[in-house]
Amino acid sequence: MSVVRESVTDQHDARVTSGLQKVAGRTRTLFESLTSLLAIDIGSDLRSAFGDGAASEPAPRSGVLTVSAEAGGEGRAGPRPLAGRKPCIGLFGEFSAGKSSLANLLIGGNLLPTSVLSSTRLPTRLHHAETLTVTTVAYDGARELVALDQVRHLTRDNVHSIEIGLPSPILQAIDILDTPGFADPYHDPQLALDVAAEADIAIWCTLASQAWRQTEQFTWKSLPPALRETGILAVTHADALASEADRAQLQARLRDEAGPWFRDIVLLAVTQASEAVDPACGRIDDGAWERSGAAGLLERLDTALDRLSNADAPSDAEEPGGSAADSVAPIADSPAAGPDSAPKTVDDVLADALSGIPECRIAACVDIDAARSIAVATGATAQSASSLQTHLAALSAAMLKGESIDAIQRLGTGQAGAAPVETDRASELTIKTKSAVYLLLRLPGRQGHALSLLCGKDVNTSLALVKARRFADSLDRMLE
Amino acid sequence: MSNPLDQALDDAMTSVPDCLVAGFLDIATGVLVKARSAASQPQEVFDLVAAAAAKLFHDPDLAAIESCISAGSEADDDGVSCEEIVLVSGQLLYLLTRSKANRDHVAVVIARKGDNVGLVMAKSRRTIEALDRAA
Repeated sequence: MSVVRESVTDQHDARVTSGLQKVAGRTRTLFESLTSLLAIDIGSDLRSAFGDGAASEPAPRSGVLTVSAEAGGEGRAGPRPLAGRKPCIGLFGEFSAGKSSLANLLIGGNLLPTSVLSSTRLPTRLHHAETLTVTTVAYDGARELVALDQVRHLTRDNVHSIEIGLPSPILQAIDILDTPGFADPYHDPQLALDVAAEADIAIWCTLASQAWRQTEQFTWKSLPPALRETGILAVTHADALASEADRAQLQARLRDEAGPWFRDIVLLAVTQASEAVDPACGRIDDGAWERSGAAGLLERLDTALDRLSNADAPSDAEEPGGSAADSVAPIADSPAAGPDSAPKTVDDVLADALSGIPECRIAACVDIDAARSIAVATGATAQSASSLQTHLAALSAAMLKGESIDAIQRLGTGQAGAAPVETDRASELTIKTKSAVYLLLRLPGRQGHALSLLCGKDVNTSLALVKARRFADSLDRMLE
Repeated sequence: MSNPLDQALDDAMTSVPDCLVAGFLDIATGVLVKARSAASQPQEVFDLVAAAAAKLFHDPDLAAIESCISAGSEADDDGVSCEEIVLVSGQLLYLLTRSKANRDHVAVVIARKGDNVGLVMAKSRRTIEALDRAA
């Protein structure tokens, strides 16, 4: 029996239990934390802060108060592995897919008004703090503690993300990253992509009524493969499904279509979950809680945290958690899996790049000094492929090493007479033409080699680059 | 009173985070049209860059690939199909974008990439549009 299930059984004890457990001995079970929080009323202050401003707010009351480098809480922006920092649960999904509602559920109450928060369209990281704090993070990394009544007026011009500190027990164990919705015409998806790497475990929220749309698939597959391996698909507003037959039908479809891309799939009704809790005493209606899907989601998160704490990294070897109905195949089985799927050869990496990067037509590993390809994967016909790869290799060499690039770099480095020093070598080059996009990436550990990609002109360059860097890393390891 | 291009270049230097260089090159002739630089740069460097940019935009291998995948139909009359070159090198970001108004002109912005390349890119592109309008 999982720790979470034990917590469900002993909910009353769990609510008053403050023992630490799990990740590095510092984190409590999600369910214990959640049930503990249910008895704490910290919601009204924050609600009023995000509301119309009519209600009274806790101090601070006005303006930018101070600059605080420490105000952002713990564990900022650390890459894998955990290495002692708190894990971060990232909530992703399209606009109005229920991300903020899920964040509220996780922290134990309606603390983050969904409509106001989503209207800011800024990534928001929830972390533990003794008192309620709101901190803005500027593009240059500067942090400012801001008054609560100023939050609604923040704009993307000067703020990259928000950090909210809450005295929420669950946030002693984890940080929660609530991201702006993709597919919002007024929102730059880059904002969410910028912070995606901060998450250790990703939950993709999709509406039950139109679950796992093509646009969602495209975006999810563009996120870092390591995130996908820990991914949980949360099908929100599942209570909108009319019947058990509808639920079963949706589950079956998602197993087929989304299964290969997620470790778990959970149907979730946040409203039902909230109603399962008695606000007066925190007592939980077990049956309603289970039926809402909240218990299943927390169990899977618990399992994912276990996996992180045990391995400090996602492991393909482990069995995915969850029931047979909801379980999905591990990402490694996916035909278009990312470079972390441990391909065996350089050819495998290139083949994965060709299939994993949208619009990619040719992927080549190029010896820059020799101006020739040492391995190529191509979707072009054999007749044109040979010519294309020859020119692509020559182009890569000319662009990454040639004297023209050196001359341009001298303008940046102010070195009129000398070639750029080693550390200033061109590492990435993107060329856009009317009919194609070329991505040329020097391998980080083998500077004489590059991953060269020829993509269709409609490729999302930012997303393609994110993926290409990971394939370049894989190539680097292969060539060691 | 400065002309629009001077003003656009000045704006570029202030609006792009950590902008080091903003300029306009002519890739048909390989000469510098006008530039601003945060640090003093010898004229010979600008001349070299203008010539180098012209060479890059006319790269024969790029032209050969473009010819192969588009049957040459997409290239301009001068055979140049390249629209934008973005180079990341060390801590610097180089953005060279071909003018839509004058196909011989290329705007160049060099900035420190900092923690948020996306922001630098977005600001640079916006700046280049302004340069394009001013040129």
